[in-house]
Amino acid sequence: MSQQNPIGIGLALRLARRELRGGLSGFRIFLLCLILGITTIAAVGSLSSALVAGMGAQGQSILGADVDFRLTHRQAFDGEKTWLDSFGEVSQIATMRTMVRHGVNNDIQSVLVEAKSVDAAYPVYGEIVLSTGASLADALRTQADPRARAKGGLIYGAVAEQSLLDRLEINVGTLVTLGQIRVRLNAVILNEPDRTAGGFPLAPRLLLSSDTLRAAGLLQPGSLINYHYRLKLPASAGVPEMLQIRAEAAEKFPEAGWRIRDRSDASPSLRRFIERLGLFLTLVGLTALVVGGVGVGNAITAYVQKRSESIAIMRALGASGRFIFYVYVAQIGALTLLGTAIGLALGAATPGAVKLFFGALLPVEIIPQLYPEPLLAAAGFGILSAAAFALWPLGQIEKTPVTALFRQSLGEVKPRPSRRIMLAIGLCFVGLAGLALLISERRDVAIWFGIGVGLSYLAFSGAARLIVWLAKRAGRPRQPELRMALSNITRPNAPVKAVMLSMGLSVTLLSAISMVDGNINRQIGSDLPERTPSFFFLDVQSHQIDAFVERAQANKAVRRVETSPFLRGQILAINDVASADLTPAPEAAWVLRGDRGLTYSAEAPSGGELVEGSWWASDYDGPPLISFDVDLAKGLGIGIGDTPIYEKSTGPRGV
Amino acid sequence: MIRIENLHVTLPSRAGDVNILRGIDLNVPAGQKLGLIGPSGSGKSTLLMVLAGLEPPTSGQIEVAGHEYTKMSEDDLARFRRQHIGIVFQSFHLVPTMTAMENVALPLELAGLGDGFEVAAALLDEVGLGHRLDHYPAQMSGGEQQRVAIARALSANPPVLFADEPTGNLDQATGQVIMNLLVKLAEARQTTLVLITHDPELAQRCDVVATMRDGKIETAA
Repeated sequence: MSQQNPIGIGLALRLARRELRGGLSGFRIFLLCLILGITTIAAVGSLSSALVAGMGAQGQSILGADVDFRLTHRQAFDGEKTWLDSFGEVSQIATMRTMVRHGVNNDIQSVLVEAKSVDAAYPVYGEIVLSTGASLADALRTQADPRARAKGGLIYGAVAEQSLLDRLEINVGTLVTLGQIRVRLNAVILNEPDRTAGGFPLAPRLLLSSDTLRAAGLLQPGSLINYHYRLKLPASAGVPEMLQIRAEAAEKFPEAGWRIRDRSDASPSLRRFIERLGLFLTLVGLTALVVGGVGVGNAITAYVQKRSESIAIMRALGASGRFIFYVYVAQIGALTLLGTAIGLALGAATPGAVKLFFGALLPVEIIPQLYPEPLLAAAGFGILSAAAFALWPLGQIEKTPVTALFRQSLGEVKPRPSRRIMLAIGLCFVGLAGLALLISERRDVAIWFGIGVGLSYLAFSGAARLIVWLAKRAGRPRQPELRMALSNITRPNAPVKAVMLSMGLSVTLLSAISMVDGNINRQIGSDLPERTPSFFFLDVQSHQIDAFVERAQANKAVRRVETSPFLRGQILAINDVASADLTPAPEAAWVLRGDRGLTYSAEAPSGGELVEGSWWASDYDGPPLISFDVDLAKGLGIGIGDTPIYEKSTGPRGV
Repeated sequence: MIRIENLHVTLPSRAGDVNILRGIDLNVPAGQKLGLIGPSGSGKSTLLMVLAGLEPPTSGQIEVAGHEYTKMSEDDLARFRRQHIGIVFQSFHLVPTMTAMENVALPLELAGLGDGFEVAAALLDEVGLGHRLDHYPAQMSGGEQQRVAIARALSANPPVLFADEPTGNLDQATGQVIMNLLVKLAEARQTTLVLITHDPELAQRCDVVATMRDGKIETAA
């Protein structure tokens, strides 16, 4: 007989392969749990990446330019305009929210629209497609009103999204009122290349010419209007050139107060929305993996029990407990890799499938390709959760006495795995938490998610023990059905904990999603109307206030009218540190993005609570002072005595 | 080769402790064939499990091939079995997912001996199953499975062979064939054999026959 070699991993793998000849029938639940969780995470991640990549690739058409300069309330001054023109073609557009009316006498319907006026150069990138096939210039053309020719009346052309026509229950060609003019809706917009540049729209788009917007009389001082100047750079211009333009703008016009975006991040609000939705759904997928993990543990326990004879034979023939552990780890490892591969393949294919079936419905074109980061994260989550839940029953094999294996009484013998296995299980859970933190922009969300899952797990484990304890003390009921039910709960190896955890965690997950949805809906549909006005009017000018209030109070249905001065401005710096250089908490970062509403008052508002500092005297006459929302102040890291610098159309003010 | 002194095995149960073995003393010299007979519940199978190191004794001394069991852990005993002990079970206990050849080669693989499949093929040929090398247990009859089990028990050439009712699940004619094979192979290898059986006639094929009753060895002849 030849020389003796120590048994090792090679033999363990060989025996694992032989054991797997028995088929995958015992692993259906294991594989399903794993594939479902990994597919969810990989699909969400890949889809999110494909959308963001699509936005990146279509940056020019989404933004409608290579570089976009946005000014609020005001148009560019001559010097700024001249500087912008020096870079090449410039298109000017203006956007605002306003009302469109339709109807006669008492049957007038008003609908909020996102109005956008464009010049002849629009769009500098992409193509606008109208339902009539006409060109945009033709559709926006102004015509004489045949019925009012004698008065020199005009009908202005405009195009709109189908949803506006639906809301007003009108067709193409219908006349509607916009401000002081009549506008004919000449076509439906089928494609607006830069539709998502400002994030998800609140109202249907109404597209008109700059002259039409001016004629409508909506361009009043203080109107909430954004002017965009869109630069089309030479084809050779890349990111360095765009950065150079941004730097030059900051240097030449430091007080312009414009917000500059370039095609490399054309729609940050939409990107942020997609990324946050992706994170939320990833955490939902991770919860599915945790719930599935309980199924994984059960499936492996059942499999090990089924294989107890084979394990006993190998032990009888001289295999050590640790060697048997390796044999079964190799089997579960191979199946985990199989489940992971299937889950990743399905997840990676999702962007392609979504593009195929729902591509036309999405605001951004999806770029289906392999995105390694979400796939790696999904694989990591899958492998770590499978290991975390599989190692316990596998570790028990190592410690199970061979007599229990021969008597097939594994259910009654539940040894605790060795210390190194317990350590490995702990590391797997730490790895899962670490990975969740790594992929989360909002660390606090990931931390609370982990705490929530952990506490839920402990709560349901405790509840399962309590049920068994109570069942054992319930005595022996006379009814056989009840007696059998109770004994099934208290018998050795009863699946009470597994059922409790699976059902409990699943219901918790569904409840959590439904609660999030319900809370948002309730806040919008119920809470707000109790605390906020029935109607909220903006852009009422100083000279219009008295007439407006008088008219409103004349209506018997109006119980109260409150007015408040309002202006908008952007925070340019805090304590002389530019906004761009600040690192606010994620929940407060939005304050530094774009304009914020400002109001002023000699007295403290009655609905608010002063939590720190004191209100200025009613006759105060000194440097500007402000009061700031306490949560946002914490998020920005400021307090009493700090100095935010605001921009208004006439220039910055330190307050 | 085998020495037992004052061996006791007590197993716990819900109704109270059960004394399975109550002070067994036994000596089996190397190369001897011992037949253990006795009624059901007399403790024969438990004694064999303890001898094979598969069941820990409650008290007493066991020494097999010069190794004292009470000082060995479960994994030490597993390693010891690889080298020194072959076991034939009543219900064959072949690994269902392995072929006849793989089952027979398994002890050699676990012992780290490289040419396991060559030895396994030769042994299966010796027990008359040279044509069934690649068959799985489910594809073989009970007699064939027991022949595979005997080949497996002897594949690592152990000095001690334990057989627990090796013909218990077989008809009489097949049982005779299996018994002849077992005795022939044990004698050819000068293996110490401990045979447990209900059948006194089969036990007579051994050098010494001991009778067990109520956890004790009553007589030895």
